[in-house]
Amino acid sequence: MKPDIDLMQYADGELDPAERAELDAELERDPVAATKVRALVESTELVRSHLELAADDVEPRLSRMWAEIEKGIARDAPPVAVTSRPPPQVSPGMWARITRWVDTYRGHVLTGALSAGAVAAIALVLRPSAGPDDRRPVVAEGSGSIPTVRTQPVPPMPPIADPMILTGSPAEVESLEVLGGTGTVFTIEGEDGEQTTVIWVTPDDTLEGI
Amino acid sequence: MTLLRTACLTMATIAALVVASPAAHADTLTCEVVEIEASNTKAPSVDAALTDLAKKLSQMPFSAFNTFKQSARQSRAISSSATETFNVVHANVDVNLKTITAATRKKKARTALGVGITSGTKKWVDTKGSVDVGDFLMFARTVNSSSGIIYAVGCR
Repeated sequence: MKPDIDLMQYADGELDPAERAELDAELERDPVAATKVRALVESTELVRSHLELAADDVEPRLSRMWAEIEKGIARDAPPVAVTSRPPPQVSPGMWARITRWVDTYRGHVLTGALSAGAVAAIALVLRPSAGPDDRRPVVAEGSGSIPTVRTQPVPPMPPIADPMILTGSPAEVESLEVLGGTGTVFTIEGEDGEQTTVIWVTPDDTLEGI
Repeated sequence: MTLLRTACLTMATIAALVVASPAAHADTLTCEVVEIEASNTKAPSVDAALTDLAKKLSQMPFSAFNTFKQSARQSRAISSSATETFNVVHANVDVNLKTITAATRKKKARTALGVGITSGTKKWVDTKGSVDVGDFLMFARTVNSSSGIIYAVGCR
């Protein structure tokens, strides 16, 4: 038969699993030991219940005592002028104010930014194109009421030495209508490379042109 | 809250104006029409008022003449897509500033112009073309074998 100390540890659940299994087997064989264990468990429960009941009885008394203590502290303490001092005001920086404003009005700021983006996109789309090749010259020849329009070939542009210097282009004639005469388009190049476009009109009633 | 909406709309408007400002800024140019009486005389001369055009006048085909006298010079601000009529001595010159193309890294700013010239009641030329800002598109009309009228049209 196991000693009582082992049975007490069993009843308190302090044995490891192997020991507990061994004792379980022995309790099945030994009804006296099993009765001792049951008695130990019941007595333990009894003591625990008694202590809990005692604690329940004490708690209201403790609460009353604590209330009395607090009253005594309040009564004995010197009167203190209670002033609610606000936390020190630290002047926020510009960035802090901006971020606070943005946090407060985040939705409106987003709306404004989106609106600005949309308007900017529209403005970019509607802006006239700066591409130099979107308007190639078309010199009209003998159309409409033009009796004759002679065009002179335009000499090729000389190579650009310095791409950072803005280069000029000769004037280009896209359409030409000459009424009652003959029109000639010249593109002439000066000694310095400057090109000039001339529209020369000789009226029909001029006896002798140039 | 209304104030806040107004502020947001103002932001949007300012952003749009900033983006569109290069185009908007160049929406108006000062266009100039110079009328020159050209002839052949025994005393060749170029009017002192024609300094800016003297180089062009010294080249063919203008070198067929040897005397150039400025009879009129008018300048006027013209907005994009607008037309102005310059009433000079021998004609009325209609200048339509069609578009303005901004300068690029390599190219000068350029204008697309429509030019119509009427002498008396007779319109003798109507053309559309493009010319660099600051340059001139030249027109000449033969009057007789020894004289003519030259028109220089440009915007800056």
